[in-house]
Amino acid sequence: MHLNELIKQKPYEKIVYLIRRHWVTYIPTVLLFIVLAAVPLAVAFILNQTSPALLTEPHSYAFFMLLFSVYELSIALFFYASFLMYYLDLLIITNDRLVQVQQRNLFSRSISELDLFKIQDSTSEVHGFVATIFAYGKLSIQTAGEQKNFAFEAVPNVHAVRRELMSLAEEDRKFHLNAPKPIEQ
Amino acid sequence: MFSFPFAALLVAYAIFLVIFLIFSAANVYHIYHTGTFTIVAAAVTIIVSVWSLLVLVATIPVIMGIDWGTAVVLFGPGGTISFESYAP
Repeated sequence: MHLNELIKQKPYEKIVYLIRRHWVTYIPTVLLFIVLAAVPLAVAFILNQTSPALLTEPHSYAFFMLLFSVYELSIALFFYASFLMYYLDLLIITNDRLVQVQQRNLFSRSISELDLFKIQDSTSEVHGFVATIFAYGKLSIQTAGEQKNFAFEAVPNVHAVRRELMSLAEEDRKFHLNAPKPIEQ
Repeated sequence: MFSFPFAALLVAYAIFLVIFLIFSAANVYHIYHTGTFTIVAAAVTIIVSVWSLLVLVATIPVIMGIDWGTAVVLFGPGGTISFESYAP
């Protein structure tokens, strides 16, 4: 594991939560790719019914096999890339800060950080039948000052995560209040 | 009438395979580099690899069994597509 490539972990820092979007939200993408992967079978069936000579003549068969190969390999590649987008979107909560990693595409990633003591308020929302059954929802975090607010979709056990996050934020606030202040000259 | 060597398709396919390999390697590198190479990521990697290998295994025998020294003739007599040998 090289999570340190994403966040430079401080010596006293420990990861409390490493959250990805709930796996249920990825099922429609998987189904879409299964359907797309099966398209050549349907095309072959239609060609076999309408003009079977195209699939029996060696050169045209080779041409269709090359097309099939390019199509299926592209689908496999896009599926893997989409899995990566899903899998590398992370919300990391430590006892010191919150880190949001957003993988926008293969060559674009943004990482935002927020010190826990700067959290003012947080909201957890669960909307819809499937989200209620699988207990996932949106976690919104309001911050003090001009720092941007954070939002993360499809967080599993979102209410529990929000409670734990607020308790960690409270502990971090106490720690920062009690921390020795630098001596002014 | 327009014709081109059938082997041009093979060259295009080879170029595609190179691009496919580069992007596949970039994907695997991303997962490894970010420390997210878990059991789930490994399982998906294996599934995609097996899927790709099966496609290649199905394609290669067809490629091997073809005479690539033919020409594809487009819009030949009757507006059809035909394959003609370059050999005299």
